Amino acid sequence: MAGYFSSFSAFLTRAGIPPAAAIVAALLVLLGISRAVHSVLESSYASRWDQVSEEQCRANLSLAISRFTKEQRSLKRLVEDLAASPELHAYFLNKGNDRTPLFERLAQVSRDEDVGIDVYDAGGDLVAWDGPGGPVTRADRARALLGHTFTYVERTPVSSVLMVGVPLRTDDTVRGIGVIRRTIDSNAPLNNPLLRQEAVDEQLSREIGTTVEFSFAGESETVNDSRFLSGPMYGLDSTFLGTVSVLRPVRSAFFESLGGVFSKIDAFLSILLLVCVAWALWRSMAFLRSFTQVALLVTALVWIIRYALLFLDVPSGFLSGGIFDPGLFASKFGFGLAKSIGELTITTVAVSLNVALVIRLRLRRPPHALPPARLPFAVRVIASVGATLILFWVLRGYAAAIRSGVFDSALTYFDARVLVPSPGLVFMVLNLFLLGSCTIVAAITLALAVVRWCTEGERGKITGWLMAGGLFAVAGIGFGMLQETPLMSPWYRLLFGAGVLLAARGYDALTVAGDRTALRRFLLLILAASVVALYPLLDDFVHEKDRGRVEVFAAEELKPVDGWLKHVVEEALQGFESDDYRNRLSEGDAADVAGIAFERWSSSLACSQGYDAMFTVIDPTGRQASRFVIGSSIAGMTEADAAIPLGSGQIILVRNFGTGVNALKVYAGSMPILGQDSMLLGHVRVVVAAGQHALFRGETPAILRGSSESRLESFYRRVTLSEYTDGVLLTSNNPLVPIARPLPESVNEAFVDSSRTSLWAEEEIDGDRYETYFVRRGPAGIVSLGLKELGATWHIVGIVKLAALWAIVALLLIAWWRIVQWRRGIPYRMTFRDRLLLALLVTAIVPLTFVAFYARVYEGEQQMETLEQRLDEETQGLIYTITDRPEQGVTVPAFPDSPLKAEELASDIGTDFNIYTDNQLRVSSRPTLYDVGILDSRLSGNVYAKIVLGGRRFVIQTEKIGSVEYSVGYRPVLDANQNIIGVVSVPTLFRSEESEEQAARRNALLLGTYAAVLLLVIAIAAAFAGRIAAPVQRLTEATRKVARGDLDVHVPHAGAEGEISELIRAFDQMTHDLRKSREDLVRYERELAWKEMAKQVAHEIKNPLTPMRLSIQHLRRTYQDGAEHFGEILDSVTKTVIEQIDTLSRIASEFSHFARMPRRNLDRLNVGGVVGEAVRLFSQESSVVFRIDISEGTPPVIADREELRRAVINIIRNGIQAMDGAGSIVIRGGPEGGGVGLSVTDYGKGVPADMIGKLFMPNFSTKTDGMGLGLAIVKKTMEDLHGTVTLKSEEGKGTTVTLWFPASDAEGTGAA
Amino acid sequence: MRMLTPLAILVALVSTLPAGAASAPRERVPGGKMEIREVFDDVQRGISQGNVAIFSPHLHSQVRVTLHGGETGLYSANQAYYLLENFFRERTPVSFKFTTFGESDNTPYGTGSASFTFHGVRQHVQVYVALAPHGGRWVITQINIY
Repeated sequence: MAGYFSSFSAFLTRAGIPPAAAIVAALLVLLGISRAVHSVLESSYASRWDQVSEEQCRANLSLAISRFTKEQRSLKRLVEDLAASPELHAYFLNKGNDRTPLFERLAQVSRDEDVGIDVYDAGGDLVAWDGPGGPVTRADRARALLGHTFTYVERTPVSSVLMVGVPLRTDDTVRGIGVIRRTIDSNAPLNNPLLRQEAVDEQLSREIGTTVEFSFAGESETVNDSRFLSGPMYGLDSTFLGTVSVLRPVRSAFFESLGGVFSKIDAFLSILLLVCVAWALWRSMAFLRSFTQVALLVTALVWIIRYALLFLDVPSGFLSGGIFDPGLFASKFGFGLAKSIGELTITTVAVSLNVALVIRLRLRRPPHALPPARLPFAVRVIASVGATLILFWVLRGYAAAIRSGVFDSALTYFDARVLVPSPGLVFMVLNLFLLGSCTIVAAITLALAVVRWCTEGERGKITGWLMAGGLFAVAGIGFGMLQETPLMSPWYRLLFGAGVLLAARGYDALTVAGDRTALRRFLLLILAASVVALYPLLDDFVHEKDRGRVEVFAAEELKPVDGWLKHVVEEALQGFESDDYRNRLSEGDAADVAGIAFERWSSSLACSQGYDAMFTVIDPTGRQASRFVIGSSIAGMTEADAAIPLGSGQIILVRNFGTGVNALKVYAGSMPILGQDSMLLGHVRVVVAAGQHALFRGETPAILRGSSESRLESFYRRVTLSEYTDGVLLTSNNPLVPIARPLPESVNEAFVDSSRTSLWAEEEIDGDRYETYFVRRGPAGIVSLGLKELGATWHIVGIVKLAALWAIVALLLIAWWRIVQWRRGIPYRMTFRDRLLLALLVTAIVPLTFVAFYARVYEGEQQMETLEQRLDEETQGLIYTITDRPEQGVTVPAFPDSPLKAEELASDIGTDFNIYTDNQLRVSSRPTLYDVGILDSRLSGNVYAKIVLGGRRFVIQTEKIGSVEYSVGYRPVLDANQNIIGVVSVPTLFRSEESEEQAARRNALLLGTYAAVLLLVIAIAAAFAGRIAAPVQRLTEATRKVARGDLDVHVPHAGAEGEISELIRAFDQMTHDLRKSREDLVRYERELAWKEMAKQVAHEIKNPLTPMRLSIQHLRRTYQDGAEHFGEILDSVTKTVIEQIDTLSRIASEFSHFARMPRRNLDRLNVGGVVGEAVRLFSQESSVVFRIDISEGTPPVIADREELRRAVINIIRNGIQAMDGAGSIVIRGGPEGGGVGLSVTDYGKGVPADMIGKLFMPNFSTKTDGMGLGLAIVKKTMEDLHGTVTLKSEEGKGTTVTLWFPASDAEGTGAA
Repeated sequence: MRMLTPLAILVALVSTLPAGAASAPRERVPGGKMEIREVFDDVQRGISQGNVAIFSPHLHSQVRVTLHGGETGLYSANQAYYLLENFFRERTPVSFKFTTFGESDNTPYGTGSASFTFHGVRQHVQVYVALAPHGGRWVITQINIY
């Protein structure tokens, strides 16, 4: 692929087309093609719609039938695999053996494949089973024993179950039958965890993209609806099983769907186009010189792309669930920028990218550029005040984002029950963190600007900081007054302002010092600060929301509900008026009609909201044809149900039971169901009951509700609801509130004011603090809704969870950054302290993790043991209760003979239970789920094997319905002769809320403890690592100084012990010796240099002296000879002498320069600036053209300004001389090899190759008038700066001299 | 001394704030049946046209929402807006009219039947909308399309 791209790119380059333009053109062409194809397809489908519709529908039908057949074959294969299993062989070949292994095998198959499975022997008797099952007819068993496979579908009120019976053969002999069952169709739209398993028809509907319905009620029930295309389904034995119906494509929906596909393609191409255009713009930004212009363009680009995505509905148009679900979070901010967590995440990334790009641009700006022009005083004043207000406005925006994150969401931020947060919560919290970091960065930038504007010159810096502090303090207090809802306390604003000022001061100090490591740490500090900034606001808003919801509940509590509950009943009644129910009632199939009540309930508002309900269908003769009851208010509902008359129209009746918070409102309604020609098909009655404290949310357990969103209604703190009359407690749902407890005094006094309707107050109940909302109800009644105050542990858990999330993301970001650096060739080098800290943390955290893991396992085991013990005791207690006392002479257990009695008994002993006799459910205190077939009424095979076959006295096992797992305790019931006459079971299915509460407490305690230990470990490890590594770090720093030539270092011994102390002493001794050796060497070198110098000076002086001597001698001789042209000769000789004296003077001057060792004044220099200064000196050279190209991002170098300028002047002068005073000099500079490169190129004569090596030697010159010291001085200068100088030359073409300076941060100041 | 001027300006600015705060409008008692009717009219128009924006200004800060085949629970007005918008994006309204209005103890409500086309198939749902007084006006506290 890359090869093709390269070839294509090369082709474009050859053709002279810019790649970006080609890609944009290609995308535009693709967009055009997409539109054209869409248009052609649309018109083509429209013109032959009937044919297209029929073809697609038949294809879908064929797929559905084949899928159903495949399902049967897969079930058959499971039984055949079972037939080949050793357990089955062992049992059949040696019949009479223990069946326990067979049961275990079936349990495994049942669990793994989510099927029910029965095994019959050759006599047709059931010998082993597991999972849901039911009877098989004698005829079918006989047929299977003759070697035939049979298939049929069994219907229950909630589902249809595919059943396949297969002969079990060993050695080609039929030894028995295997019957396997799997749910293939859900008859109820109930959407709760119990039925979350997706049925085959649902899977097919999803895969095909249209409605697929199975009908197994017989041939006569073939769907007679023109909107569907139906086909028969046959079993493996060719028996007709039913029909499958596929919804014909609806024309409008089909074209809508087609348009949706193409709009997605268009959106994708448009996004690519946009990215290309943005990239091209980004690349062409080089022409913009001003930082402000570039920053504005970058910002505009980022936000144009963001809004373009929003406009194209990308990615929300592609992804609708998960974090893009507005049910989780949605805010109207920014015209949809935060309409879901997913969109908010994209917006947050845009904000962060914008900030990061602007910071990057700012950092790449040359640091020694001229300072901006000083603004007029008045402008600075206004700018300071404006920037301060903007800073607090930005802070308010951040607070508003957090508030929206809490109030516009269904997320629970501090739920201790949850250890691993949901993706929605993770994304939301990370968004808030990132926004916090960006806010802090923006605030620091504004603070620095304010300080700059407040500063008058260098000496006024302190005043500037103080002025900025004053401005922040006043604005921090005053800003809230500008807002009707300031969203945060003045204390928060003040602390934030102070923190920002401190951070700005730190940043300022670090940038002056140029310590990049410290700057990076500063960035990490900002990320950490975002946690600190987030938590108080988040905690405040969560608390505020809790209170708000309590107030909403209180309002609902006191509000009459006539309208709502009446609507719930009406909705339930009107739902019966569907053609489906009418058809079924008119057909009169008793088994089919029996499921209607449950089906209607499961799709009603009553189910969705979790109300206690009773749905009844009565046939025209007045007989009850179908009934479904759920909830604990059975007595009240039965009374209301009996009271409602059956009339010719809809009737609604209201009954009230009890008083106060125990008051129960019961709404009952009835309605006739009329068929064609107004023939009466029957009546329906619906009763809905709601307690006062459950008006808008039902009381049935969450798992029995129609809504899977029960979490939306839940508080992570339980609400204590109490009612007071005349200042004394009447009733409460919290047993810890004492009977006849008086209303708190302060509340009582507050309600003396008759105009007061409600107030919040704190109270103490059983040693715990509560914040409670008291509301007046009637003249003497007060209702209170109390929330238990969260302890420190809860807060720790909350903070730890947030911090852990952020830490994980920060680590990922750091890892990403390291990878980027590594790819740039900058490896990460861990310091000794880092390694030590890492080692200590690993040493501490690994065992801690093990301990935590095993503690959790142990805790889980303990919990399981407790549960086992509890279920053991409860099953024993149950048997004890149902068995008459021996002393009374009766020892035969008496089982309850009706669900009502079972319910009463369950109420007495405080636990739900089931009783099995002959492996079938005899009675249950919660029969609803058995009645509708959600729970299997047969005794679990595994329990049978262990109790009946294995003789165990108690068994506990985990069972599963849908996605709900729960534990059940089983115990045999024995008669006087110790024979098993039944089995009792106690399930924990209905105690999930209690379990969640326990989990919350455990998580809070465990997590809080481990969090505290972890924090302590990190703090101790950091302290130890710092203390141990400090002497090594000092030693390392000293070594660096020595490497730079500074031998006057001394390493303090403080904190160093043992080997490290020895090392430091040895190091000090070594530096002392080195110092001494260097002094000797310097002395020797100096002497040598003086000798060389003397020799050189003598040599140089001798050269002009000879011509002078010769000239003077010549003058003298001509004078003595009385020469005729003595005047001319005098003139010539004196000219020569003067020239030689000038030469001597120049020699003296150059030696003076070379020998002089002035004290260097090192500074961070902008190379461009120095070059400019040097070039200006040659301004009189009108025949020379200078071209200067210094990159904008060139970092500063450390050098002596005068020395560097002299070096550059020398090189330029050489260049001009090489060009005989006319031509071009090109000077280039920029980052190079981790430092800075500066090259000067002339286009003169060049230097012969054999001379290049000698050019930097003192006294070597290609010129007649020079001393050959210019380049030697340049070389010496660069060597002193730890840089290099190189020369490249080509005779006749020119010469380039390149200076290279090390990076300023690596060099420090050691070059002095 | 010159740099004290920004402080003086800020102090002067802050000192004017209480006057602004004092001028905040007082909460008024909501109007009678006319205003209630206007809210229900907006809801009826909004549902009939599948346009949430028509009645979204009337949503209370916390709205109890139940949608057919969708979400159910207590949501903020912003969430309710987008949930309803998504609901109507998938469904084309055919008809809707309030058939019953009721009021009891300052909590008016309206119910009616609505029809939508969902993926080409017509659906019939029951609508329940309840109002409550808040901030001097009538706001929607509950909306059920089920």
